[in-house]
Amino acid sequence: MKGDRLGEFEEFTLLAVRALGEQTYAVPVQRYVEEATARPVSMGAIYAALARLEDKGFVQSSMGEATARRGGKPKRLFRVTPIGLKTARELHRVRERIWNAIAEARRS
Amino acid sequence: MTPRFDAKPPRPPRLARWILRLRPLGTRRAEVTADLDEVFAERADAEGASRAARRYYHDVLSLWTWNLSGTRLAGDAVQDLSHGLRVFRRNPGAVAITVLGLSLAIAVSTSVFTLFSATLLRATGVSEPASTVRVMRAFKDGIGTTWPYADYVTLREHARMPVEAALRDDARFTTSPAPVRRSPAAGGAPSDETGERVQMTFVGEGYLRVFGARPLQGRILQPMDDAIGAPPVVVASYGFWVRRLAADPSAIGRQIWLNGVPTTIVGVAPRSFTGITDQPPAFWAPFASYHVLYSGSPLTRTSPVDVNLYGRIPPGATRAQAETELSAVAAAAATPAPGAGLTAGVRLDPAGSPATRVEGGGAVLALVLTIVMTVLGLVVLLACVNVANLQLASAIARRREIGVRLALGAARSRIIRQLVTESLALGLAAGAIALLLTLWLGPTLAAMVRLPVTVDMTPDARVYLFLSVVSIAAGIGAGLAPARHGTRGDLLTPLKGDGPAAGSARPSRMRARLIGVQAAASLVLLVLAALLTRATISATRVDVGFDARPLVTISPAFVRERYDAAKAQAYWDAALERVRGLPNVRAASLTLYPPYGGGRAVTNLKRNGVRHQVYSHETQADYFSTIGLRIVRGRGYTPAEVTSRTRVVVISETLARMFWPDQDPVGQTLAPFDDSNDVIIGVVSDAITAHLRERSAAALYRPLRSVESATIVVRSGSTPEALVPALRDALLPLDPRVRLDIALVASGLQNELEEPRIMATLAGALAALALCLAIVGIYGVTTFVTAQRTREIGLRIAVGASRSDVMRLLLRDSLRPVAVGLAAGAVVALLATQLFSGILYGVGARDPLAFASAIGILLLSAAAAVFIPARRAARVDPAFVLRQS
Repeated sequence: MKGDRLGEFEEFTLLAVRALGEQTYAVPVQRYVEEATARPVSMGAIYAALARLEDKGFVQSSMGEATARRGGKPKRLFRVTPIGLKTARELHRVRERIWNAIAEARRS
Repeated sequence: MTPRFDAKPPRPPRLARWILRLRPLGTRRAEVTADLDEVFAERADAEGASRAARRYYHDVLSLWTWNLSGTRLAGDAVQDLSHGLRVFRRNPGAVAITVLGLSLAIAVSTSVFTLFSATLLRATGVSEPASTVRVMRAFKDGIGTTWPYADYVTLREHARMPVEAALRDDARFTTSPAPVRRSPAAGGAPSDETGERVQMTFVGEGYLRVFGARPLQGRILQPMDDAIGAPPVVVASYGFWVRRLAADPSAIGRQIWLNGVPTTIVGVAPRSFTGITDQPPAFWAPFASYHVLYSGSPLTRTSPVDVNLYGRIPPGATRAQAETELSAVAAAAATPAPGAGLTAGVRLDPAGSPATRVEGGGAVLALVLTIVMTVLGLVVLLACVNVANLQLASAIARRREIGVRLALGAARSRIIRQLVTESLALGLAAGAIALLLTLWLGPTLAAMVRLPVTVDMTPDARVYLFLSVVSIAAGIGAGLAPARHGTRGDLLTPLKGDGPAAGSARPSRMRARLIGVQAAASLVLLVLAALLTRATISATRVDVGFDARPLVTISPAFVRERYDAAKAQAYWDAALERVRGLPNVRAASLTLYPPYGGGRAVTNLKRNGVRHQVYSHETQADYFSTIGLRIVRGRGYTPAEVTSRTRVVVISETLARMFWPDQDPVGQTLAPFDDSNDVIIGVVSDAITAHLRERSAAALYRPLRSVESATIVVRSGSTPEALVPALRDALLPLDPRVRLDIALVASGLQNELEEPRIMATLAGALAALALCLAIVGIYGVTTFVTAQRTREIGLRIAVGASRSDVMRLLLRDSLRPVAVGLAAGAVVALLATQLFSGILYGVGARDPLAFASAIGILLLSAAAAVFIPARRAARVDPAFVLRQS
C-alpha cells in the first residue's frame, strides 16, 4: 500500500535500528522508540514495522548467536541497508526543505 | 537492566503465556518468546511486576496485528470486524432479525441434512464394501431376496466364498424380568405386551467378523455363541448402547430380557458399523438364540425359516466368477421354491455401500439428494437475500463513508473486502447459533419422522462441514452483491452530501432483483408444500376398493419346524372355527398377504415384450367376501378347489382391462403371459392392499398353498378393537407357544398415510420458514426504499397528489418485483415439481389449485409486508419534509 515509502512509525523504527548500531534486535529497538517518542509502544507494533521494513528492503535480519544473557535463547539481529539509509536521509531532506520554506515565508 | 539471580525472578503471567501459544508464530516462536521475556524482566525491575505483567498482556495481544506472511489481510480483517460491529450496533433490530432468520434457515437445512446423512449417506461400516455382495436367488421368472435356512447351511458349507445369513425379527426388550412371562396356567406364552419393541438381527456367528465389525466394547459373536445350547447372547449396536444403555461400559456382561428370556450383552459394535443393507438393529444375536427367544427348538436344515444372504467375493475373483461358483453349489443342493419354479441360479448384487440401502440404488439416492439439497438451498438462499438486503441498505447508507475512503485513495478491493468481512461475520454468527439450534432440532426431527432409535443422529464431520460451508457461503455470497454495488458509481456525488436522491437507479434495480429472487424461491417451496398437503388429503380419500375399518388380522408366528403344512392346516381349521364362533365376527378367511400387513408378492406378466408387475395373492375361497370385494364376472374358487389346489385364478378388474381389453377373460388361461397354465375363472373388483403409493390394483388371486405363513382376516360386526382380546383368548389355548400378532387393518392403512403426512409436514415447515424469510425481506426493503423516497413523497403531496395516489404508487412500485419473481418462480416450480411426481398421491404435479393457493398466499403476504411501510410513508407531513431539505 505504501510502496517503497516510509510511514512515520516505520521511520522511527528504521532510525532506531540505525542509532543502536550494527547488531541490534527487537527489544532495544522497542525501548528506544518508546523513549524517543515518549509513548507506549507494543512489541507487536515493532515486529510489524521491522517486517515491513524488511519487505521493502530497508533493513536486513540474521539470526544472532545464542548468548548466556537470554538463557541461550536465539535473537534476530537487524541492520539498516544502504537503500534504507538513503530513503531515510531523503525523507529528512524533504522535511528540511519544507521547514526552510516555512521559515522563509515567516521571515518575509 | 542486570538480571537478578539472587532472588527468584518474577515470571510473566501464565494466562498471557498461554494466549501467546495460541498465536501461530512458525519458526520465530523461540526468539519472540525470548524477546518478550527479556522485556518483561526489564520492566519488572524498572516499573514493578504488576505493570510489567499488564504490558506483557498488551504485547502478546499486539502480536495479532503483526502479519507474518507479509500480506496485511489478517490485520485488516480485525479492523473491518470492529468497524462492522460498530455499524451493526446502529441498527440492532434489523441485524438481529437477519441473523436469526439466517441461523434458522441454516439450522433447518443442517438438521434435514443430518437426517439424510444419518440414514442414507453414512457408510455402512462394512470393511471392503466393494467385495461385499448380497446373494440373490434367481428364478426363471424373477429374483428372490430370501433363501430357505437349509440353503444357507448348504451354501456356507460348500461355497469357497464366505456366505453369511441375516434374519430380522423384533423382540420385546426389558431391563428386568418382572412381569414379562405370563404364568403357565394362563397360557404360558411370553406376552407380547410388555417392554419396548426392538429390532433384532439374527446372524451366523461369522457375520460380524466377515464384514469387519471390530468390537467397540467387549467382544463380537464367536463360534461358541452359535452352538446349540449356548446361553443366549447379543451384541448391541452403537446407537442402542448410547441411547438406551446410556453408553455405559458396565452394560457389557449385564443381563437383559428379550421376550422375557434372560440374555447377556457381550459387546458393542462400533459406531460406524450399521449393518449391510438396513438401518442398524438394536442387537445382533446368533441363530442359536433364535429358538430360545421365540420358544421353539433349534434351527436345523428342516426349519422352514427364510434368511437373507450376504457374501464376500474372495480376493482375486471377479463377481462373475463368484456368481458361477455359487450357482453351481446352489444348483446341486438348493431347495426348490414352492410355486416359483426351480432356482435357476445365484445373482450377486453389490451391497455394503450406502447407495445399496436405497431401493433403486445410486440413481435414486442421487435424485433424492438433489431434491433435498435444492429445497434446502432455496431456504438458505432466501435467508442470504435478507443478509444481502441488509448489507445493501447499509452500503447505501454508508455511501458517504465509502465515497470518502475511495476519494482518499482506498482500493476498491479493500472496501469490497470490508463489506464481505462484515457479512461473513453475520454468516458465522448465524452459523454458531444454528449449531446450537441443530443440536436440539435434529433429534426433534428424527422423532417427528419416527426414525428408529438405533440410527445415530449425532452430527458427524460431514454435518459440521455442511454447516460451515453453508455459513461461509451464505456470508460471502450475501456480502458480494452489495459490495460490488457499493463501490461502483462516481466519487463526487456522495461527497457532495446530496444523499440518495440522485442516480439511485442501480441499487433499486439490485433490490428489485433480490426481492424477485425471494418471491421466486419461496413460491417454489410453497407450491411444493401445497402439493404435498393436497397429496396427503387425497391419499386419505383414495378408494382402496374395500372398507378397512371392520377388518382385523391375526398373524400367528408358528414355532415353525413343528408346523408342517398338514399341522398348520389343522391349526387353521380349528382357529377359523373358533373365530367364526365368536359373537361380533361376521366372516373370517385365510390369506397370504393381508391388507397393509407389510408383505406382498409381485409376479411379472409379459405382454408384447413388456413386463407388467402384478400383485399375486393366495387366499381361501371366502376371502373376497370377507374383505368385501365383489365378483364382477365368472365366479370365485370353491373351498374344494382350494383344498385340491386346482390351478385356477381370479383376476382383478384392472388386470382384465389391461390384458383382455375387449374380450371376456373368463375361460382363458394366463399362458400367453406367464409360464403357468392357470385358467381364469372370474374377475373380482379392484382393491389396493399393498402400498398406497403404488396405487396399482392389477392382481391375481389363486387358491392358498403356503398355509404355514398365512394370516387370518376377520370381519367384525362393529368395534373391531373390542374383538382383539376375545380373539387372543380364543386362539391361545390352541397352542400357547404360538405368538399371536393381532392388528387392525385400519391402523395399517393409517401407517401407509404416515409417509405423505411426514413429507407434507416437513415441506410445510420449510415453506412456512421460507414465507417468513420472504416477508421479512420484502418488509425490510420496502421500509428502506420508502424512507429513501420521503422527500419525493413530500414533494408529490405538496404539489397536490392525494395520499391514496401516493399509496397506489408505492404499492405498485414495491409489488412489481414481487410479481416478476412470482412469474419466474411459477416457471421454476412447474419444472421442479415434476421431480416429485413419484410421491404425489393422486395430485398432478401441475395441480392448479396448489399453484393458485401458493401464489395467493405469497401475494397477500407480500401486500401486507408492503402496505405497512407504504402507509407510514404516505402519512408524511410535506411541510416537514420540505423544511428538512
